[in-house]
Amino acid sequence: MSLLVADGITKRFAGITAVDDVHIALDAGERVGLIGPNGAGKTTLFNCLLGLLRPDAGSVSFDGQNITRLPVYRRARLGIGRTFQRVELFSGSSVRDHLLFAHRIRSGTGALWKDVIGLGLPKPTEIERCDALLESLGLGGMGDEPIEALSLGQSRLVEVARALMTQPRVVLLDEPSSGLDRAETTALAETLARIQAEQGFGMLLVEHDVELVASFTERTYVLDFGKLITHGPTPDVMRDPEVRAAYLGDFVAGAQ
Amino acid sequence: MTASVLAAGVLEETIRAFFQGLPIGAGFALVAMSFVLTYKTSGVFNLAFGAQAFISAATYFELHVRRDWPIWSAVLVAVVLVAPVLGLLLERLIFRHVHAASAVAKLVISLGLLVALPELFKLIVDYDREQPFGAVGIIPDGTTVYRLFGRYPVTRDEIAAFVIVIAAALALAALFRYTRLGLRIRAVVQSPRMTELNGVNADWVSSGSWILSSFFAGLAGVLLVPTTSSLGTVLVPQGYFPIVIAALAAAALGRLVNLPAALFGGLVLGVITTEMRTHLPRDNVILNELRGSALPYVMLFAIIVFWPAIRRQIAGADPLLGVSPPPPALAATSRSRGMTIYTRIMALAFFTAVGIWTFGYANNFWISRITHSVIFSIIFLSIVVFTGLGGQIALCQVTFAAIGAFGAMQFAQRWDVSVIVGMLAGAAIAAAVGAVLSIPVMRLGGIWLAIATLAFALFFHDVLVKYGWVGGSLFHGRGVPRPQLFGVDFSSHKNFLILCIAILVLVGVLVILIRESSTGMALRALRGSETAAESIGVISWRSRVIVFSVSAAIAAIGGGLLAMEEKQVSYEANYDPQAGLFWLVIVVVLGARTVEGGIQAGVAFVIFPELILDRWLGLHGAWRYVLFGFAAISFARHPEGLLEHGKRRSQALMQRAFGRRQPAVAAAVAGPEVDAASETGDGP
Ligand SMILES: Nc1ncnc2c1ncn2[C@@H]1O[C@H](COP(=O)(O)OP(=O)(O)O)[C@@H](O)[C@H]1O
Ligand SMILES: [Mg+2]
Repeated sequence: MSLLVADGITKRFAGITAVDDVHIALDAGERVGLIGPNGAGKTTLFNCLLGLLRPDAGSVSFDGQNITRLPVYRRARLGIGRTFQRVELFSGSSVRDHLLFAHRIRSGTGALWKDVIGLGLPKPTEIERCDALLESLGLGGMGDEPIEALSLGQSRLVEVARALMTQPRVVLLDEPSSGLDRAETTALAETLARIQAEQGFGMLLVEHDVELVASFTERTYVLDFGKLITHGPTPDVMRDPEVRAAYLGDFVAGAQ
Repeated sequence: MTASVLAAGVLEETIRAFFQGLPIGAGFALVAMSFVLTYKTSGVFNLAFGAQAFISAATYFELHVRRDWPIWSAVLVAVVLVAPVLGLLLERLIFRHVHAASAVAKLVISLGLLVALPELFKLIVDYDREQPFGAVGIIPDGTTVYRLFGRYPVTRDEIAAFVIVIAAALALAALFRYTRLGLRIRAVVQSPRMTELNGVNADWVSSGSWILSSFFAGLAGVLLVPTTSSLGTVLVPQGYFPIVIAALAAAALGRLVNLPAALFGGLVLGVITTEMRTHLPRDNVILNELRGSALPYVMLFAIIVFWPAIRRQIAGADPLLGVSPPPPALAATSRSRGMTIYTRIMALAFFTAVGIWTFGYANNFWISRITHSVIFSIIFLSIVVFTGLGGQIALCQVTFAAIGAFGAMQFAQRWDVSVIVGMLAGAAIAAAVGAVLSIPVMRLGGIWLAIATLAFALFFHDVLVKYGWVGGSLFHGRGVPRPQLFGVDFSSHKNFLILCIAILVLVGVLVILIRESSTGMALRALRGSETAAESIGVISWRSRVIVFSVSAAIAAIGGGLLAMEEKQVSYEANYDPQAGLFWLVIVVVLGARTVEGGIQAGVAFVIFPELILDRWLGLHGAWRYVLFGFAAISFARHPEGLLEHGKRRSQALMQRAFGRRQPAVAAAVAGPEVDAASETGDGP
């Protein structure tokens, strides 16, 4: 039984079918890629998985539970973490605060009455935990920095860290490479691979940067015009002549 | 047979109400079009139109009624000269310079002006030298009655109002169609971005639309005098408030962006008003209230909450409507240890000195003033919670304070329980009301939330307070005793002050705890990015309910204490919704983000008019409203609050002086102007 399953997801916007009867499945601890050119419907599918959009047909289930109608926060609390294509951080808060908030909210210790009697203040152990994760993501010592002071690459890492602090069983990443240059992308990929290996969460990497996906996913789905055109082990997909010709083109050729 | 006679009677009444409603609606429509014009061209949600309408009407009154100028010259000065010039001045001196500020910041400025402008006007012409009785319309023999179709009575005033407004709307349409300025304004109204790209001179468009809208407001001001009963014959600024609210409702029908919809909406609401007045049953108390001035508030609330166009607009997340992005971290978080200790010692010394003076030397008058400051500090902490922590603006804090006051009163009067218990019960009721209110307005944000809560406050003020179970009966009066607690009698001034200080400390600590704990974290996350907050499991509706309830409860506690201090519920003096506008502005201007800010606002609110204005400067009490208006203007430049701004600045200076480098602070202070613009800039 797969951990996260999307079964026959269809989503239409006025006039176009952005996602058309798509099935994907992801096992615990697995690294899966979802690729496709711009406008293929990746973000739309992603938002259906997370509850930001309600699919017109199909269902989403997590750990055997049907979550198609659950609101975003409930899915987050079940253990689905995410990052954003356009970075969404809590401006005005420090880097550590991002992790602290996420930890606090996930651990469900946020009752008002506890706050009122002083039990809600950040504890040294929580702060330590946040700093340890920052350290392992290469953001050591940046806990007190205002979030605005970070580069885009670092901001992406903070998003990852924020998602990880909710102790997710699967993390969905929406185009983590967008806006980053090659070197930054490589660095991000290395960090991601390492932290995934350490913590063993499942990972769905949505990307149009094929190289990033090729570098560390086990399986890959290919989406085009809202339809799933192929899927399988990443190396096979990358070799698939149809995929290469139509969607990946020179990218893969150049990379190899 | 009888049925058909009855039906004929009802039909006749309906038609009569229709003809009476049109002129009233025409006035609403004028103000509604003004709203649309300025909102779309400069992003300002200008509640001060009420003030502008009043100023024209009062100028006309001053010239024609008091000084016997002929009608035409008085109209010329009041409407053709004063109104446009006022609009131009507002645009040139104020709104042009806050272009980049958030919609909420602009709303705060307009609230300031709404209060300040009429007071300034009154001071200048010494308007209150006698009761402004006997206001008349601008039509000679306006009360002459004609019968339309031989049956339906309408006065000359009413016909004139309707005709003038339709003529004005047609003239506006012609202006848009045939003149360069009109074309430009229309272009900006339709698509601000587009026109910026095309290099249309935005300055002229902005000035032009302010001149036009102010002219319309002025015209509405004089036209409405004889047609709406809410203005009565005593011409005071408050009379224009319900009209502005009705106009707001009309403008909201067109999502604040559609001029024809505003015109049409105004007329329709005018007709609805008179139809309701005619047909609603008189024996049902609640429905009967809708006959009177409560109607605009109910309509406004209902339109904001239920009108699909607005829901869609909010879902579409117009950047103008978003809350302002959270400002940078507080100065206190980035100051050095030495500085912190120094600040604390200074504060301690100050409070000790004030304490010794108060308890050793002050007379009862000053003790009472200090008690008032402490109580208002408590009330203002509710604004710190809602605005400082929640990042939103609510204009119904007065209502919650009133609920606390009436709670204390009712429980003490009816069940003879301790007034403290009554106050706490009032706080619980306020929290519940806040929670219930938060549900329909939940999805709203920014100015829509502010307006919906204002409508609620006005509804409470106009309708609910009149019920015996809320506002008390004439028979019992509104007396409230001082409390007894654990055998201690708090009826003496000093003892009661001690009690208030203790409660202030408690509430202050509570607010800090909430801010620094899980609830505060969730709120900061939501403020930063709602989507991201939900993606880590923040339950946004729950956080909003909590903010509403906690802030309502705090306001109610303050309200209860205020009633005990004054030994009665002085509802009109303390809890009027317009006083609430004042509260909000003073807190956000001084600094809504810290407990200190709330306390300083409380002290400023009470002591400033008394001590500085009256005793030291010997100025008329109305000057405080004027100064308040100016203070509101500063908000756009310093959305973090004047105190926080001053603190950052002095902190940077001192740290530079002591040779300590604190990059974060230095950066924050280096460019306060740039800083303010980016803090208030519209969110993504
Ligand atoms: N909210 C929306 N309304 C209308 N069309 C949309 C919306 N979101 C996405 N689309 C359309 O759906 C298609 C898929 O978009 P998207 O999922 O963002 O693609 P990708 O993430 O693969 O680049 C595109 O044609 C896009 O224009
Ligand atoms: Mg995308």
